[in-house]
Amino acid sequence: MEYSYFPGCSLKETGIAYDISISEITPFFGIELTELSDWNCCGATCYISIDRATACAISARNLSLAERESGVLVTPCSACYTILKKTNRYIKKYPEVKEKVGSALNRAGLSYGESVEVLHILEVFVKDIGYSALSEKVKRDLSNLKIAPYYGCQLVRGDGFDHPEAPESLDRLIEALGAVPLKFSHKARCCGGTLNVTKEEAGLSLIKDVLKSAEGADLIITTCPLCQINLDLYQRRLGFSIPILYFTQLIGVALGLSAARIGLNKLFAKADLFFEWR
Amino acid sequence: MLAMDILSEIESAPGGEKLKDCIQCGTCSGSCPVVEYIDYTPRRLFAMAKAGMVDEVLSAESIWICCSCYLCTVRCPRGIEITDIMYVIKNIAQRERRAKGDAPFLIEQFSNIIKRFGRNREFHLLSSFFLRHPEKAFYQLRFAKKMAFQKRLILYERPISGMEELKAMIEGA
Repeated sequence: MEYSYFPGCSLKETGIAYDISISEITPFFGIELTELSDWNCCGATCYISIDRATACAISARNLSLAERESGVLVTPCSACYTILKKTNRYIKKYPEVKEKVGSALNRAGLSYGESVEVLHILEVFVKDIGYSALSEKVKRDLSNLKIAPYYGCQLVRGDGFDHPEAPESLDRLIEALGAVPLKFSHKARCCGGTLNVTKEEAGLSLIKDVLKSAEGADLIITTCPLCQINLDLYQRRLGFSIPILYFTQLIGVALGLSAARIGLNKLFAKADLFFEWR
Repeated sequence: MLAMDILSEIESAPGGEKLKDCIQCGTCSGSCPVVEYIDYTPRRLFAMAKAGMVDEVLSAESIWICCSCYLCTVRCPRGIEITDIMYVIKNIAQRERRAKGDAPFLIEQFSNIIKRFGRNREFHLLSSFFLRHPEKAFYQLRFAKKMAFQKRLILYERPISGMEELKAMIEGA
């Protein structure tokens, strides 16, 4: 299965472990990801706060580039996922957005025929690959691990997939890998995003609520680079200490890959408590 | 800016057409994860916009504390895209130069980085923020040090090849 891959800015910087683990595990399932050539930032929640029309336009440049390639754009970042899908929806729904985006693309010598499908990498694993294919590849026994599936917010909300408040796909993925998913109230609550920078007390309280709700888990898995870094960096300050992995790293662990190969050495809370460190 | 203008601007923006359907039930405010940190709840903010309280709406701190989690949007019984209406208000506040504080500053730095490199640079972005807040920078330095050691920071990288095209898209908009 071939897809165009939109890593997003975080996966090339602080969230590089997510990028590394994705490129290590996808070949096991016949997933061929080709990085979208010369992609630009999706704009995240920032550009859309300045000017929605321009935010849609710069996001549409990526859709336009993907249309020339595989036509299916896969991203691992929940913010990129939301903005790219929103742009697609807005272009189709509102003629004035379509017109503005069209003329902006035109200035860059591009056009967009509205045909690109945007997927989150979790969707690729649970829909295109499927739970049974995941189970078949498991090499390491994870049955003694209780794992908290943390979906975060944007992945499952309005433009997302799965249930907007009580999603199950990541729970089923944990079961497919042979571990036990923890039921916890905050699995689809917000980590605060950039609030930890701009309004610290609000951001920290959201992180604390998530970590407290996940008490009893041996580790937490995430689907977004911002969720991961927020939980991982600030937990010590809040009195918690639990490994926060990307779900793709957990798949890598289940496949029997070494810690370094899936970037477990590029996290804050040590994950070697659970896995052989070699 | 006239009061009626801002209301009609919000209502004519994509997604804003549903604002008139608001029944003031307060599901949005009750769902908001940062409700205890905001000056006006979403329900109240919308009532104020409808009542023509332009100054208060555009200078509300709430819009900059909204963390775009979309919980209000998925719960709204009238199907109003509340998070997107927050963006519309933010856009107007930016344009009218009413945006103040840390969140608008971070957003402005972010957009400057995009205009220069075509991609966000997290280390650049946060460095610019903590230069403005040296009192908070000390705590963050440990993180930066460890991440530099883990090769998780980009100190410099060239802009994307299509930078000129991207600039043309942004500047002509």
